[in-house]
Amino acid sequence: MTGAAAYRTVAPSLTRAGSPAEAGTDARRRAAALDGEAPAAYLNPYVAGVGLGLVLLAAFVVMGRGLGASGAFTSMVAAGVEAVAPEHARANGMFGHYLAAGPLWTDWLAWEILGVAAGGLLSALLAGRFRSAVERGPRVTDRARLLYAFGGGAVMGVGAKLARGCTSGQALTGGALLSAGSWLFIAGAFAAGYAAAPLFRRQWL
Amino acid sequence: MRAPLYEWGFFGDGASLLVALAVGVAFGWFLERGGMGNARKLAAQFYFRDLTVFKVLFTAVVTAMLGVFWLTRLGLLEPSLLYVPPTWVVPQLLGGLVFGVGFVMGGLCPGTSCVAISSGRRDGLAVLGGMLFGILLFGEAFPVLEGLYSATPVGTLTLPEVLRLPYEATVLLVTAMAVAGFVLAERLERGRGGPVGPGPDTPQGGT
Amino acid sequence: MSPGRALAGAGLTLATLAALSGTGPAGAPGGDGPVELTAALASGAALVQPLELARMIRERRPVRLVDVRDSSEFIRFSLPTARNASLREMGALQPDESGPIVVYDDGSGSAVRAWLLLRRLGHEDVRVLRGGVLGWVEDVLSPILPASTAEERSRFDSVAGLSRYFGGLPKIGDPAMREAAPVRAEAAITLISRRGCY
Repeated sequence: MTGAAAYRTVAPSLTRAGSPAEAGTDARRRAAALDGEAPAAYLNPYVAGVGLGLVLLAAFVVMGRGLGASGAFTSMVAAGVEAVAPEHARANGMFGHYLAAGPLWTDWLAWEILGVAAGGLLSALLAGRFRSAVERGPRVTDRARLLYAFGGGAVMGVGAKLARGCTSGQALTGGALLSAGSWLFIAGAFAAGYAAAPLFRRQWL
Repeated sequence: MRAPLYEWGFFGDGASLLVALAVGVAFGWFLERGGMGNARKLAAQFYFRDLTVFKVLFTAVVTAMLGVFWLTRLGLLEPSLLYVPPTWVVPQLLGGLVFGVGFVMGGLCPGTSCVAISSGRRDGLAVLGGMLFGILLFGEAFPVLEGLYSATPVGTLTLPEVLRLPYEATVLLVTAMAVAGFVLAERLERGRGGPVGPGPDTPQGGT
Repeated sequence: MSPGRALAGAGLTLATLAALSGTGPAGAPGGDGPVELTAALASGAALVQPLELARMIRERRPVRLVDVRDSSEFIRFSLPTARNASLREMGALQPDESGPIVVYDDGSGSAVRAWLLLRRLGHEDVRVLRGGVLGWVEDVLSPILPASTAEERSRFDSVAGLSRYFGGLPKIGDPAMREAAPVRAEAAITLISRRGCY
């Protein structure tokens, strides 16, 4: 299949990609947007994806490594455990491994994740999307949602440790470098997400 | 000049931390731009309402993959110096499954929880807290879990090796599958109320 | 044209050209992974002792010695037969199965970085000089060894011969003396430079 032929095949449906204009189908929001009050619509997902991909590529070109998130949090937990019980932390197979890499402030991923928070804040403020809220479906209370969030975070933490990475380190980085284990992780995460989705339907819809 | 610059000693460890910060800012920026700091938007992926996670993730993967391929082909990047995450078959498949359950339950992943927090979402903070707790649990249980964690190591293994395809063909295959996936995603989303926007759509008080 | 449509077209075009571009100068990403590298480090195969290196140089065995310090330090003092190369110049080293590449630094850690880099670039036999320049000064140029028994005496003679070959000053004594009066690499290098050995 040539590029041009493939392009013609897929092009018609991609024209309906969730463009910024379409995101504001809600009449109330569109009216508010005219007043300059409403948050700006999210960027087209494909454009955002290309942006992320170029950031990842820049990390490869400059550092020779990709992105990560759960690794930074593990360094933080390891440093925390060390502060409370130094002997115990260093004797632990996992924490000891992270502590051996040096102090937290020299951890590449810790600085990167600090940047992630800063970049997110900057973007949200400039787009008027900063909002103190709890994102949830209409059928649960904030309190229930926060409990689900904590529980989900804990399950995810265990999964990310077992898989040696999360959506950033495995799915994005390993995915782009065609690592077989990373693609296994992607397949597992999406499959389990869809399989478990009915259990949490009430929280979201 | 041939990348990766750090591996060739163009700058030291101190400067690499500034690079980390800059890369992180850009990473966080595009995550937020794409709406990836919004748990409702991410969770909608799993109910076929809003497939933004899928689109953003695979567009990024394909972009970086093509970038690595072409920079290598043009002789600007030394591919053997890129850190490819090694493969452990069972723990990574199992970890992925556990992670997926946590993802749909918590609505955010580790990186996006940071963006959720810094754009004011309190549920992001709860996800982060839970994640630190989960990592602590895993670490404390590590002596028991170590056997599973280290099971089935196969070293650095890439898709071209698994599929017995040339690197070039694998790149085309992954790109074509991603685009086919995007076409399917657009079809699935149609008539399901449109993507989740940034506004406060949650009716207060519930039903 | 919508962004999604344009990007899909661009991506597919680049990917199709990729598939049609034939086999290029390099394959998929990833050389030796951390698993292999850690195993190599743990086995000790990644290190070479200063005396062993000295014997290799004296016997003119095929060894490529690479000094990864700054060129100013290299000009002041370097190990015999060494060439100076920064990390970014490592790509110029051609793979050669006949002998090892030995890299050394002054304890800054550059040698380990060079070792990693060379291993990942596909060089099979790469070693780091244990102790770097200081290790060379202490073990080869100013060795302190006991010589009270016949066995110790014969070992001293062997090391002393090697040391004198490189212009060193071997001493008989308790190696623990080193702790009391450690040889400062800086001082030793200054001394050696003045003597014009190199």
